[in-house]
Amino acid sequence: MALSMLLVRNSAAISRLGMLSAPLRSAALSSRLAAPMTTTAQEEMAKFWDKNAQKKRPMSPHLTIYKPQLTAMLSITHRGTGAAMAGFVYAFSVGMLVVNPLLGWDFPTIFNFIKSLEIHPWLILGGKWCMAWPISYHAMNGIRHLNWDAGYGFDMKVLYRSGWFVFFGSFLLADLMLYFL
Amino acid sequence: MASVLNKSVALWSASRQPMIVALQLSRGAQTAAAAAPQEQPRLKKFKIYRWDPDKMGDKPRMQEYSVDLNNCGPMVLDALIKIKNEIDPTLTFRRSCREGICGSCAMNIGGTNTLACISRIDTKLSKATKIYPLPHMYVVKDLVPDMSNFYAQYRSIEPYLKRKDGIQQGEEQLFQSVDDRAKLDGLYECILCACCSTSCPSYWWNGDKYLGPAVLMQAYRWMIDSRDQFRKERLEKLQDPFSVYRCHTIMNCTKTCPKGLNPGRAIAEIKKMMAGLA
Repeated sequence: MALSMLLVRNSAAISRLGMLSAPLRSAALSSRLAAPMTTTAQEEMAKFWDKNAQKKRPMSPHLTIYKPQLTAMLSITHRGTGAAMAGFVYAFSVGMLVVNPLLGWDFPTIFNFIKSLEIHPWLILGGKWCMAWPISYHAMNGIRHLNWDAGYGFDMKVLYRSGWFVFFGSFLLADLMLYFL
Repeated sequence: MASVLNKSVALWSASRQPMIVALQLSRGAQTAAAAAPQEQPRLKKFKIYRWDPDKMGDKPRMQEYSVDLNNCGPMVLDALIKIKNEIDPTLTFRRSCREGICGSCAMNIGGTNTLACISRIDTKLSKATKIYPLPHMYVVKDLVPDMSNFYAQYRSIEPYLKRKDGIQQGEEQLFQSVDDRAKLDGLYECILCACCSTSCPSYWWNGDKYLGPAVLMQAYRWMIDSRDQFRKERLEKLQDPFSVYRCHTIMNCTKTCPKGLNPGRAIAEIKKMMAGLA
């Protein structure tokens, strides 16, 4: 007690605090303690981005250093095949909408044009395969996704088995599509 | 004279207790290398991410350290501590329990997120082990990321029991059936190390609005607690395009969880509840 009195007398800052009346002091203390509780989680988050930008902290490396795993690789392939197929369908159909009234081209015209180029049959086959595989992969992995949406297949063992099944199965299905269609 | 005497005493005791001497030699292999059946040093390289906030304009870099595995514990954290103690005291990382229960030493080791304390050192000496901080996080220093956003997100899901009947805490015991209690297994064990959230590409790109696997699994944990009475409100709060639905079932989260939990499944269950399917 004596020691704290001594400290109060010695420090100008603390002695100024000491001159405040007791209730006022406790009010100041409690409002300071309560302060963190008045910030919401959202405010905390907002502060986070500002603070780090201001401190110019680097972002730790991510995509370039993370191990390529079946999980992420199949996922990005699913998105890639989906985007590529959608892009192809849009580009082709919009292109046809433009080309058809302007030049009078319809589907048989284009078909015959490609035929007239006399492209090597292996290249034609390769081109067809490049159209068949995205469909087969996206469809098969899509079934995997539907299972997940229903709540099944999350066990890591099952997930990896279904993953490899879809990966190899998609090649087989693409080959079958070429053979039968 | 005294030193000769000492030596002879030492020799005498050595000849009397060869077992103990051998034991000491193998323990402190480096100091006693002369007389022991010598062990080859097994030098393992570690390449570690470094960035110092106190150096103006410092650029992140990789620094290489060699550690003799003969004198090192089996886990990556042992190697990090050894480096800090014996080679470079400026190396900075978080650690506490050294037994996989505190979650402090979460980092990216050899390309995947895990806890350094329960991750064995890859004993293949030809390959350097690369260690980075948790991916796509602001770096405070070296292997220490700023976790404040992650914690604020955890806070936002109100991770505690909420009741509508006004029962005061400690007033009454809230009973739970064995089955209801069993539903929390595989959820409550989460130590919030953030390995899963920072392994998730969706969280990398949308960490400001997407809550990420760790936080969502805890949201689920409170939704399905039979004693909690705010499931509907908890679900409504997440009903927007980002909080939950940035999850595309990539499943890096479950793959990397050092505790063997399944946040991917928990998010799927949340989606089912939101769609009214469960």
